[in-house]
Amino acid sequence: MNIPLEKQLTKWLKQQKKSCGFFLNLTVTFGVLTGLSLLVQAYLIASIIHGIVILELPTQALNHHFIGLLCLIPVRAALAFARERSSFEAGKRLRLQIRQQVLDKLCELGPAYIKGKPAGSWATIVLEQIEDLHDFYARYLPQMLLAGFIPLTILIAVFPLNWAAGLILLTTAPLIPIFMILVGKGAADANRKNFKVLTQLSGHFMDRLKGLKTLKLFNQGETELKNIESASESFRSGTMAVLRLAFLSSAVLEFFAAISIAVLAVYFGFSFLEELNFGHYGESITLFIGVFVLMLAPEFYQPLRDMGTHYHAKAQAIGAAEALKELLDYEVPHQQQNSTTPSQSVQTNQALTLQAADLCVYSLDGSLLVGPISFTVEQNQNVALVGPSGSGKTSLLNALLGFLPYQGSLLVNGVELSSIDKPQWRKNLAWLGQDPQLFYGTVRENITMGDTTLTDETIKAHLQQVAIWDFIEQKTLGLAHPIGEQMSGLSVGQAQRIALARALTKNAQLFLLDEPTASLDQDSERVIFSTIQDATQDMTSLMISHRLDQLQHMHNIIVMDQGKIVQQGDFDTLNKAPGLFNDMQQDMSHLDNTISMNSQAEI
Amino acid sequence: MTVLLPFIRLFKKQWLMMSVGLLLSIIALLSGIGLLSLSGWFLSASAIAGLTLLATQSFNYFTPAGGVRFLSILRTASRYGERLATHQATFKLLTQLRVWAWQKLLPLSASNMQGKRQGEILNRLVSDIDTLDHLYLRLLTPLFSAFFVLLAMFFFLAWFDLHLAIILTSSLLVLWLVLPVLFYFLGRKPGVEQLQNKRQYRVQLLSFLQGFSEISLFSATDRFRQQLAESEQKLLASQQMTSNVMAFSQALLILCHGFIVLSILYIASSGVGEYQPPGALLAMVGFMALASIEILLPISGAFQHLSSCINAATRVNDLLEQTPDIVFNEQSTQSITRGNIHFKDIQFAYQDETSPQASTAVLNDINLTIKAGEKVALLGKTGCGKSTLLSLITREWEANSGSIMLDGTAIEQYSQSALTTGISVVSQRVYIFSGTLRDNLTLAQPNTGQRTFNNAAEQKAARDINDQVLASVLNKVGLSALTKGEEPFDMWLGEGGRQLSGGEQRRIGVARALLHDAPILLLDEPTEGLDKRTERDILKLLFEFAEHKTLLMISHRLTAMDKMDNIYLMEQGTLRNQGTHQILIKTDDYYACLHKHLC
Repeated sequence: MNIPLEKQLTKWLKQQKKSCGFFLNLTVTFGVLTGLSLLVQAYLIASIIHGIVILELPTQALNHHFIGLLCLIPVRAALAFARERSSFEAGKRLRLQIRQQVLDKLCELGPAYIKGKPAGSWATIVLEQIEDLHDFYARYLPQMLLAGFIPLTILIAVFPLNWAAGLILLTTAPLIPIFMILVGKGAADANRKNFKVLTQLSGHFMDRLKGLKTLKLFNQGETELKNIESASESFRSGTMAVLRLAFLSSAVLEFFAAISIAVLAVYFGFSFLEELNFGHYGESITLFIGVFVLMLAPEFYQPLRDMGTHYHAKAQAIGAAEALKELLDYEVPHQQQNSTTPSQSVQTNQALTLQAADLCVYSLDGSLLVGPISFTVEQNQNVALVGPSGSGKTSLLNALLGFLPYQGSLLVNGVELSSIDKPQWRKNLAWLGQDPQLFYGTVRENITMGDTTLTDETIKAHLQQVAIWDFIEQKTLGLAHPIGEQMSGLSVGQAQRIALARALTKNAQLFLLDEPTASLDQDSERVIFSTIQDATQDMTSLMISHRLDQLQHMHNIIVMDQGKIVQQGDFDTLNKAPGLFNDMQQDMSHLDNTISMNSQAEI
Repeated sequence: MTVLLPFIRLFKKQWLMMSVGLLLSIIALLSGIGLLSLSGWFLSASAIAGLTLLATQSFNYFTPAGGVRFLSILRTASRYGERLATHQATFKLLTQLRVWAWQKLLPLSASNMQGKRQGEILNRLVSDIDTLDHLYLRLLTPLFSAFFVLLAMFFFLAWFDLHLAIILTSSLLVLWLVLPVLFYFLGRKPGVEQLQNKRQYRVQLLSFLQGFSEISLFSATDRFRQQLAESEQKLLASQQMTSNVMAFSQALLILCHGFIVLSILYIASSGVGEYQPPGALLAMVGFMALASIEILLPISGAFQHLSSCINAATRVNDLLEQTPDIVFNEQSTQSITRGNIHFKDIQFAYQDETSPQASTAVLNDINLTIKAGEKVALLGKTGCGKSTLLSLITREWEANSGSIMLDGTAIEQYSQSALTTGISVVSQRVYIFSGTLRDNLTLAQPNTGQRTFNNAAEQKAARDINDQVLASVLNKVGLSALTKGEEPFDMWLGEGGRQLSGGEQRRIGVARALLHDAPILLLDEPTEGLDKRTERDILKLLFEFAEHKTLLMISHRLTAMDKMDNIYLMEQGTLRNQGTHQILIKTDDYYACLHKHLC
């Protein structure tokens, strides 16, 4: 990662810290208090040792110090507890906030954007990547402040006692951040690479598990063993490269901590033996000062060392921030910017008309998918959209659903679509795609989708309409029959029937259909097709279809190719006229004949 | 705890690296404690010596001063080495675990896996295996090294004062024993809940994202968001519990350690062993007690992980310790050469997981003979059992009774490789691996990957030759578009690579079958959902390929039925009628009706 980007991301991360509330500061306060309590503890212990070793006092004479120490211990325990709690709270609030933002953004961008990546990788962003932010706010940020504050306090306490000891601490201290930056930079970069390897690795393992059946059919299970081993090994060497650096940075810190203890011990020892004579302010150095400073020396480096151990939290957070910032800052090009929020509504008690003029539909990254095209769909007209794949039929439908941005004009009952409140508009739509999605839950929940006004009778009636009621009735739980994750227990045909029943409950004014029978067996295809025909009789509908033989009843057929409308008309007109429709038609029947060889002739 | 044993057994192979890690961690702890204790003693001793001139001159300061410097360097170096060694060992263990898991998973059949979704299996294996790395790194190493260091401390201190040594090490030993147990029990519930809640949240999140079109179109966004928010709260609540336990463990440790330091100082202040008053030894003992927190720090916190380790281990064991219910005869050297298939009195029912008694018969009294080279179709509605019959031949499932003979030998008598070498399958769903185009094709070729090459050039040459084979097959199946461009076979497919359309995927499936030249070809609705043109091309190709092979195709449509030697009509698990296309049109009402597109 180049430095400006990392800086930007760090800045972004810091901007988010307001979501933590005052818990971030509270954490730092507890940390500072812990530091002060360590000063007091060092003072008490140094006094005790000095009193007994040098002054040769009896234990009783130091009772006050022992009692002081006794009281200090619970205070330190309580501070540690409080600090841990408040740092968790800070991270928790932040994660809640960011997750909310991310989900809001995904909802705003809509399904067309979400489909651009597999659901699994979105889930990783929403779940793991946001979890990765936690330690940055709960640990790294507070520690950064403490790493400045605690050493300073210790220096303030040490300098008045002995300037040489203070100087030893002070001179080694600036070296630490320098080394940390040098080492940390490499570690951050390596960490990023490692993160990639990690996801690839678990992806690899998952992929092979999914294809286990295929691998077994080709007897490749044993061979795959080697692949998994080598992938895992390459992950190991990658990770170790990162860790070597990360450990080096903490080793540097430990080295300074250890060496400064050694230097201090030698300095004080030699001073006592009068080999050295500097650092004090006139009076000679006492054992109290020696022990006091020696006890504080490890504490002087501890916050920095802690920061070293939290350094990976920063690297992790930056890795996560990259994906999160990209998502949250994503702006859809070509979105029609209305100065006011879309609030218009359409008359819902009448069938809809659609009028498109110079309509252009864009993908979410801004490339032109459809258009410019113009067409009209009259009230209660059933219109078919046909054309080779990639001709823009689905994109047009997505624009109507409000999932893709458009330019030009698209009027619904005379009102511009982009100015209509989206949720309100979608209430008027029924939609059925070729790949139905049912949710984990009961059949009833899947039909009502949260609409509590639907009665079981209505649900049953709709299920009968799509000829699946018999199947559901057989189940012991009936409408409460659970649909598993990934629609387990249902065939595609059954799932599509339930999805159609669900669409029928909507009392919509406009029915949008995207090859609803494409992946069905003949039986289901027939049921679905005839149900749709009945349901859309007194309704405006727009259907994408590849079954040209089923389009006789359509009022209008729009033939699309490469994002443009190339032909329009009813079945008979198009059938007679030369053009794309006719070509497609002939192609079909020609193929039909080659497959089931001249069966007509035999009868 | 016993669930951890199979994993601990895996440690054997890595014992060297693991013991090096353990040894270094002991050295690091000892030198850390030694550094502080020696410094404290040196300071005090020289301060006492400084009081009188004679003592000042006779005081040997070179040895302790040198010792202090030596220990400080030793500590740094051993800490660094320890981290490297323990992590290295952990990652080797992880590799070993993955390989072991895969090995165990491989022989499990479809019925072993029944009821377990694949996503679940991934979760189990990937994250659970990763969780198991705590076992060595965070649990066993700190625990063992702490024990050895305590032992060393005891002997050192006992040299001066047995009484003090007993007090210090025994109180530390009590903490060593109690803290892990205490925090294991405290951390167990939140740990389990956290895992469950996270899984729950992920499942909901995935279904929200996958079904987002539907959700927004049915104005159900708020309801689903509400659901998500609730599970997120649950997840956070269980994390909070974990964090509370951690906070408590830190507080408790500071408390206990503080009291130990206090008591040691108090007792030692009246004398250490024969030294009354204690003199410089007080500082040594005091600093030793202070430094001893380093031993306990890793222990108290880490034991919260024990419960998640045990959980992970339990789940991994659950899955992997099943005995495969389909066993191949690996000793057999028999192979399938001609391609006769014979089903005799086959009965089959899927076991219902929820109620083992209530199983529904899927196949009933199937008797069917296919001679080598015959082209046979099984025709029936979805759910009539035809796919199941196919999966009995590949031994994905096993019949409840009856037998299947291939070339006159029962399928149980073939080794797995003989069976897979003898049969090619083209199924409705073709799985594309995330890997190169080459990887996706060569997996169908027998014995690739086993060849060893003397050098890279030789390997490359062999690969180039094979690439030409692959290219010609791709041309045959109509995927010549994929062979255009630079290094076409290195093109990445699957997740994160080029996405193939449904038709292209199916063609890859056909290409794999062509590369896997077997006497028996099984087709499971190979053209379902394809457009007519693709369907025609693919069927034509498959029939050409199967010219001298036994071909068994299952279908619910009449496509290509006129090319079949025999067609079996299947209904609710039984074979109802049979005959050629021409005969069935005349004699079977249902067939004729299908033919006229009426049914």
